Amino acid sequence: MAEKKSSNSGYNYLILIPVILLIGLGLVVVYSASSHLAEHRMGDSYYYLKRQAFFCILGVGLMILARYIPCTLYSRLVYPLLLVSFCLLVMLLIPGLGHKVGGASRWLRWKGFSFQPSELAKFALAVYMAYSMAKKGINMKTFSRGLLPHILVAGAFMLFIFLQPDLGTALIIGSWVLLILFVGGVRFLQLFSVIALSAPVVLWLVWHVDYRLKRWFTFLNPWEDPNGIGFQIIHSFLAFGSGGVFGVGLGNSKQKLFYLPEPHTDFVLPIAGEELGFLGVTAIIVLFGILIISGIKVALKARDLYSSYLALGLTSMIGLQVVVNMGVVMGLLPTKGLPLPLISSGGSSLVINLLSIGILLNISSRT
Amino acid sequence: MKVKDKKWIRFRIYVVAAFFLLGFATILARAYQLQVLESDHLKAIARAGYIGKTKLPPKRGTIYDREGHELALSVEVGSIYAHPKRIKEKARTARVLSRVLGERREKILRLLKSERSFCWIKRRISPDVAKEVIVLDLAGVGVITETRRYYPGREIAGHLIGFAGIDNQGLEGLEKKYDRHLRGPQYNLIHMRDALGRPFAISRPIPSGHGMRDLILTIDKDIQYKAQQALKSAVKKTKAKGGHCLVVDPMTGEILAMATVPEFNPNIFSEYRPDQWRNRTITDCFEPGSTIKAFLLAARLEESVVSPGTKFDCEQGRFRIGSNVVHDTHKHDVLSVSDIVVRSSNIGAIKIGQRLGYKRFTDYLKKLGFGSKTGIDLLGERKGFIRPVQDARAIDQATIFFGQGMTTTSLQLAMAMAAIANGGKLMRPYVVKSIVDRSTGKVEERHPKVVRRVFSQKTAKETAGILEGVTGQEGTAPRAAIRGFRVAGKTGTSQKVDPKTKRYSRTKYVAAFVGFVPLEQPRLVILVVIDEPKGIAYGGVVAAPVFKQVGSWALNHLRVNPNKGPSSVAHALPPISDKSVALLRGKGVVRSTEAERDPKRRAASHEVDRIAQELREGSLPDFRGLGMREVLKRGRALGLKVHLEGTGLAVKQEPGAGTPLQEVAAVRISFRPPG
Repeated sequence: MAEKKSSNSGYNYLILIPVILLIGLGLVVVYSASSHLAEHRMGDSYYYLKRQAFFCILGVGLMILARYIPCTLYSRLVYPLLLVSFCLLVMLLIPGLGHKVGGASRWLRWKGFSFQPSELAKFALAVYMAYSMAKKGINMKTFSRGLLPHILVAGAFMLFIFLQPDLGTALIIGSWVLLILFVGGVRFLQLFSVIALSAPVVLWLVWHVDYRLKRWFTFLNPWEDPNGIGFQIIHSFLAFGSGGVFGVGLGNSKQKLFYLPEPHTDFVLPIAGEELGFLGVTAIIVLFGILIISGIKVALKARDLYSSYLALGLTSMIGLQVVVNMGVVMGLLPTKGLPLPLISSGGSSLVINLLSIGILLNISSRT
Repeated sequence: MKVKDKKWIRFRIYVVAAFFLLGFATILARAYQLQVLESDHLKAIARAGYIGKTKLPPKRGTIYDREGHELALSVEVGSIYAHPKRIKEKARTARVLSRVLGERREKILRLLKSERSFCWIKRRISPDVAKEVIVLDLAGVGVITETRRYYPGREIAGHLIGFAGIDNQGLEGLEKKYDRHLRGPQYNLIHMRDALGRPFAISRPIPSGHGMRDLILTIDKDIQYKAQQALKSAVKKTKAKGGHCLVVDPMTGEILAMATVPEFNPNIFSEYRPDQWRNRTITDCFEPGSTIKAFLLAARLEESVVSPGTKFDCEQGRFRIGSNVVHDTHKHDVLSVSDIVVRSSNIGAIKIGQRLGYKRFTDYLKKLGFGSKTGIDLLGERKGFIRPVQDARAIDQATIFFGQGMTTTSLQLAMAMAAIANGGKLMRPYVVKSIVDRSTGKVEERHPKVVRRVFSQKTAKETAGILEGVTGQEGTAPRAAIRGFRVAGKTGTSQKVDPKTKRYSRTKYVAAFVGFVPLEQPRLVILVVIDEPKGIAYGGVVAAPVFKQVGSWALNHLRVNPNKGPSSVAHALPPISDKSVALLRGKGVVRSTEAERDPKRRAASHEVDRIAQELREGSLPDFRGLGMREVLKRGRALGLKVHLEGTGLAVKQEPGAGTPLQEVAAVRISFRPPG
């Protein structure tokens, strides 16, 4: 095939339009889902809407900026970026610095703004993996150069995220690393050995901690204890079911009235499902599908291996979170705290995801 | 190096793309399952979670007496409620409410601080106070219009009607027995609430079920009132514990009055002890005493073992049964059967009874309804007690003939007497004449029901004739006699069993009189029972005067004519005047001859002819076969008082057709449903 060295001054609309639609929808649904909660907790029903709007503007700004920054910039900054994000993760464990919510220390707070280092860590890892794998090239097939360094770096990040404790995010990162290593050319046998070796560890971690085990059993049979551990997932089902095909209409959800916990963050999709129905949920899934497939197409068309890996890494990181979040709220996967990218309320996730989209747009423009 | 050139990388990226597509497809399928396939099921569960139902107490139908007087009705009042979770300024709200409602502030504050989403602050307040609360417009406080049961007659028939509770549910008496019928449509408020229990939407009241139904009783409010008054003053005069009075129509079994003293006012039922709510005419059993001799006599005549004239030796007032001795109040030597009943000799009764035998007598008593429920449409009726023959000792087998050693309710006794009055049939008593659906106007009529024939007409007539002697100068109850009427009846004075000693008390008696009037065409059976009168306890002295008062008043009220005959006053009736004819014409009964050309109206013209014929002859027309409305119209047109009985078409009239109008003041017509 002939190489085309072209630079496109426009945007890849198959990425931009779904993203704009999704964050717009996100604003509406977050407001609808959170207004009663915000009124009750903060005395201001617009509280979460304002925050979400602020981070949308910030994120879209970063996205446009990233669209025009050459992605080679990140490869030069890869090690400082990796170091900073790792340090932030370590800081969470220092008492007094990490902001604890519900027994887990996942946020750093500064002047009323809170920041989630694990979101930055995902981004930093994506840049690192792309840079490193592109550099190793043909050597990816060897154990010592292809597998070991990546496993060690990713493992260190996962360990500290796990210590927060946030096993879910650690596992998402783990799965993502396996996926990207697979694309990078690591032999199947090596990948399977890693899975085989880590599986008992994960099982032990789940078995060992009471609440994780409970979540597992809840996942298997949520209706066993509808008022206890199964409460959240059951109300998620009820929200989806109440929506039916056409939904009860925007603003009319009943489950958001303190029945379904976390209606504006991790469990925002059930509220969207209740208010907008199966058609609304289908629209959201299709928009994400277009976004992910377009991202993968960008990876296929990228002009060098680094860009390709970066595009694929960022796309699959978003894609994995989408699939896992939707799987969780629909009871296909065990419950774990994970926001729905671009839609759920939560600044760090939204800003980092929009930044990633900006990088994707940049790569897309330089095929 | 570009990805495009490396086939294996492309392949692996396709695998990743396929992985994501598969993931999205799975999620889409799951969404379809949850939102389309299981939607109805999940929706129902969700709805059950956030929807609450508040039942508003249903309104109740009205209870009328047979003349249409209201005995129980529902009036509208206001009730104040609160949604505690919606009230922010609880202290201020409580203060304001306490000032308006006159309730203690702390009590209201406690209600407002409760965790419930709905609570009543004060119920059944006057509409004025409710209006004041509405004007205050307090957040989370509201007013609902409710109804309250009101008994305008206060004590009148209080025991019979019973009462309904604060949620308009029937708790006692007819209110309870007919609760299902009286209960109006139930109104439900549907409200939706969030998970914190705060309601966010409340529906309009939604009615469910049937329409409003009213009861029309057989009770005549005026007779009931008279019975209660007469009974009350007798109980007071004799310093008795209490008393019963029943007035029954012997022909139909309709209860015209059912009184119990001490009285009971259902408006303030909570101020009485529960045992004071009891309708003792059906719930309390006592030994009937000599009143039972009336039925002994009838049984004897029915079996035709003796004629009324047969004489018995009354042993000078002392008669030994095994180790016991039976006494008579007055010493008698030899008495005829009639005299034994009229003068109420116990020894004579035993002698008559012994010819009949215990078994045969108690079989008659059972046929008369003793020992089993009468089946009246009321709750709490008792059966009374007749000792089975195998359990009866020699003394029991003797005392039964003067009504000791068995028990009865007042109602059983009255119905048994009614069987003698009406020619031998035991009727089933009833108090609800009809049930009217207010919305559809549909009327459910209750009809008289014959339980069984106990005596032949002849036996009943003969017994009644002898019982008339009881109210004569020679009898035990001359005080029951009513001027101008022939009264039959029987007294009873029974010893009560002392609950402590389990033996017959020498001081505690039940005095009774049960009889009917007029003898020839009995209209009323009246029973009077006085429980534990002080001083003279004879039924003829204590109970008979109440019978007379109630009886004479009721006969007058029902416009029953005194006996015709030399002693009775002849009623001068105005001759048929032109006025009557004019009246008929005015009502369209008399039609012009033009109508005769119309074949449809030919029947009508025949009718006119018939009426004209009758008018000319000045005799009572034949009402038989006519409807009730027509009978009333014609009867009144003739200037007659018309008494109607039953429903359907006229089957019987008294006096008969052809009786000169000058001799008739009132006509009594019986109706029966056709077919």
